[in-house]
Amino acid sequence: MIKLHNLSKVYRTSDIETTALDAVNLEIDNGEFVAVMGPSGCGKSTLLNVLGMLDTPDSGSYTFIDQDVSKRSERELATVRKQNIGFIFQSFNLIDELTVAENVALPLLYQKTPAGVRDQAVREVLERVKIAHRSDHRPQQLSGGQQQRVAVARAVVTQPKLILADEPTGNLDTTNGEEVLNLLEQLNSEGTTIVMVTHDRGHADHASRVVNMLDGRVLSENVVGMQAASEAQHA
Amino acid sequence: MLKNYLKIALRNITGNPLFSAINIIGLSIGLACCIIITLYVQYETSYDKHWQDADRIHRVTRDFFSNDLELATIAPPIAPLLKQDYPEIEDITRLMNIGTTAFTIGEKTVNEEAVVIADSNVFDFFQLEFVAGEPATALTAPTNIVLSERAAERLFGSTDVMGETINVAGQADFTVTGIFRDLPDNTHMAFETAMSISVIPLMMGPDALERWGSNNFHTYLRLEPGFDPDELEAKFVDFIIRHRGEDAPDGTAINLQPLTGIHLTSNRDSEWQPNGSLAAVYTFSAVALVVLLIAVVNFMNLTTARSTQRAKEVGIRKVVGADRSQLILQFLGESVLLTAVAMLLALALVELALPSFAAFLEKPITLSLTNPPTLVTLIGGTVIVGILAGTYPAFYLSHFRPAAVLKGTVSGSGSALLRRALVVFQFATSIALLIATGVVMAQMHYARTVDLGYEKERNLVHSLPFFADLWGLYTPLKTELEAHPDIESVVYSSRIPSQQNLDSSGYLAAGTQEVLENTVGISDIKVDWQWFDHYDVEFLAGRSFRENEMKIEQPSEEQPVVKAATVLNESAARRLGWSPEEALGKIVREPQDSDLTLWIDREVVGVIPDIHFSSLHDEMKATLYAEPNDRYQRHISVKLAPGDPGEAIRHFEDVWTRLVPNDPVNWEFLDDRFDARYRAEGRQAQMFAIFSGFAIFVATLGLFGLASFTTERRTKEIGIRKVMGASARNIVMLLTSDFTKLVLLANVIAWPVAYYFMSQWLTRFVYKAPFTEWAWLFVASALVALAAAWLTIALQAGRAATARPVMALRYE
Repeated sequence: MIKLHNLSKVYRTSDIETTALDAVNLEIDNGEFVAVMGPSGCGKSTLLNVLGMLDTPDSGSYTFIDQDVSKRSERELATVRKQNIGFIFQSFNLIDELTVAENVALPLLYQKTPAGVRDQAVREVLERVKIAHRSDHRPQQLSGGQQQRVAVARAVVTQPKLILADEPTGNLDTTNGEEVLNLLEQLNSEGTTIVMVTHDRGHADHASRVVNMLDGRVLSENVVGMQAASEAQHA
Repeated sequence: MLKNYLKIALRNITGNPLFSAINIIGLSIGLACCIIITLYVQYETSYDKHWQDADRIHRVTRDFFSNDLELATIAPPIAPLLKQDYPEIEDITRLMNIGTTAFTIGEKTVNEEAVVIADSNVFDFFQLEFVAGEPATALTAPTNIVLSERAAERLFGSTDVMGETINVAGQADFTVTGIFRDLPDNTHMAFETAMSISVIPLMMGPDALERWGSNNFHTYLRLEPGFDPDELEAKFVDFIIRHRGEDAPDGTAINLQPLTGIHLTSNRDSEWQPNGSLAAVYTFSAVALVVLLIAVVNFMNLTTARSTQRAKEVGIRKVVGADRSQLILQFLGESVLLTAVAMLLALALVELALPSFAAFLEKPITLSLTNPPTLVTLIGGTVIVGILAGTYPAFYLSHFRPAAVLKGTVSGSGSALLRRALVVFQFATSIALLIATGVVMAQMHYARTVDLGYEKERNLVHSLPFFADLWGLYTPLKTELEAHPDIESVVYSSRIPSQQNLDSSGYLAAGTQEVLENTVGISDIKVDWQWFDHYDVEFLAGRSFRENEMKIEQPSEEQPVVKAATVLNESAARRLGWSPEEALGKIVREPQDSDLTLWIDREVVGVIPDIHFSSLHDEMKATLYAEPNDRYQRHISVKLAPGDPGEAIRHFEDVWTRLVPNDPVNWEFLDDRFDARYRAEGRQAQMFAIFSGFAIFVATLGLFGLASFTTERRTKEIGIRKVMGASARNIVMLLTSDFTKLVLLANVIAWPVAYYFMSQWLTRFVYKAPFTEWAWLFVASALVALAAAWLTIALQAGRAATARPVMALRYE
């Protein structure tokens, strides 16, 4: 599904140049659940932004479902994005002025899904994340865990092929965090590819593969289970 | 989708009350100004368009180059000759506006205003509708009189008055032969009563309609379809020579004016009534647009200043699939919705303000919301203003890249430069409007206080109605009036100060060859011998008239040259080639016939300075003062003693009613007449004041919003500065200095612009307040703008500066 070849991204200000991604090579197959780990500033979020086509690479190539998307216009990227990718953020990023149901319906709205189909889909997905009873509430009226469940619902309502989650449990307590992870696992088991950035080794255990990053490079890739060995190596 | 946009737009409006209130109030004031001015412009441009074949009707006017006279009226013999000479003229009609005339009905005598003497075809020409009588024949006999419905109601209390009798000016009885529907308000003409032109030879002399010098007739012609008025006008070049031969005076021409353009573009001597002004229409349109533009700028500024707040929403929408055009559409929708709310409020404001505005302008301006074109205009206006206000913010907000905004690394600083430029624009226009208001007021003050060259205070004046004169009554009137201790003196004259003097003749300095070409055009005013003392006019040389110089014989074959005396003003002396001292004892010759056989030879006995006889709009003309004859006792001036004028006025009314029973008492204060000459400017001053007030208010409102956002954004900085030891004063200074620079920059822009436009405006006056008298206005306007800005910002800054720093730091 995803092929990155020598992909680099450099942030420049007037004084300094920061290499956020440094010749990254990475392949992700259909149906994988990949966790991306690494210390702050290692380029995890940049990687996720590039994968989600929210940011464009400076060099290298990015093939998404057999199409090179590294040189596409903003408009074309938006089209690819809305058809294939769902996003979940650490800080939920719900629109405060919209209700829960309206937030979830938003991606369908931009896909011009007919209202009947849309309402049905929103109801189903809200039931699935067990938040249907709060569908008319505003985000601020919900707990963090509930808000993140809404965000997950919004990410999956279009049935995307890929879900990108940027520390989805970062702002949640353990119970709520586990709940969200279980949701993701369940989606993965149904065939959705998931890439999740996380700080938490325990959470990474939910993934089928862990990608470790440092200073903009991919250090190692481990299939879960070989993690202990990898850790030993680093030490 | 639309529902979603609408929902979020509504929630954004209600969720940010300060932002929404500032925008809605500002926009509604701007829109209300524009609606009201549009109605005013619509009305002003509707004049005379309603007449049948209005586009084929033209007024014939006449210029006299040597006396700087541009008359709206022409002499009576011209019309029939034009009709005879030029077959492209389908029809032609004449009206002489005789103004106020005394009408007696039974026992009751009233002054009837707006009386005309007109050709019998006038009603057919203008297609005036009759409620009684026959338009074609109503004015055929000399004793016919036709009334408007309003006049009939006023005079008789009924419109069923065919055949009733009216005695005019105590001279003859007239029979009502027609009642016509009132003229619409939007016409440059003004008459309610018409008498037949055939009465003129009977009342004013058998040759009265043959006099080429009697330029008193408003004359309108209708061209055959398809003829070009410019081509006809070009043919007028030799018209006067052809008909007058050797008698043709030099430097006179006749011209054409399109009927529909008269109200806004004609400002001739002897107009029916003061016309409108195209310049005023443009000025007020521009000013209303400026107020709206300032409100639009508020929207742009506040929306982009707030952009950080909405950046997150933009990011999320993009992440979930919105493309830029959808976001632009959403933001435009919001601005249109906000404008729609403002429009509703504006309509309410218009409803409230329109009656007083209409009364203030004395125009029947109304707004009808049930009128489909009006509705379409209002809705179209809402959409256009909404798009105008929303376009820049929509493009600005929708350009945010989701990766950056969701990371929180976007600040609203990108548009800060533009925002500053727009604040400068707002204040520059507000300051320019303030200066404009000040200059108009300064000129008005100048006009009221300038030394006119005579004493106009404490004068009560009485003008006689048409056809009336005081011959024989004047001496007893003067004697009885002056007997009262509160009345200092009484004089009569052919014109009173504040009036435009349109009377003039050709004069010859004795010694120059006696040919018509050598005559010099000079205005003349006939005055009582004590007139100069009464008005306290100083003499540059010589003396005032003596009583025995007032009565002269008319020259005749037996005595072809009659001697008389005259007082000149300085310009008249100069025009004849003399200094004031040289002029004394010189003879000014006035030919009495075109063969140059009969003369009045006037010896110059005195020279006075040029005085502002008329308003400051008009040049002080070269003027010759001479003794009156029986036609020229049209006005009397009564000088009252200082103090309460009540007693004197009662005495005046008693004496007048007793001695002049045929002419109802109708006095005015001279001061009021002068004020009336500046009424249009007085209105402009008030309109400017109102609009510049709105402009400043809306601009300040915007600044208030901007300052509150800036302060909010800098809360943490303020907190840190305070922890570091900054005083409240330091903080206020920090926050105000930025805006102060902008307001100062606005002054630099506003001053030259205001100076240019107001110098242009002042050209309507021949005599202007000198720049030194209004230079201070520039500084004053700057101070007012600065004060408004400071007060606004300090209010915000003060709150931030006095808060405990820990509150500010906890905010993040």
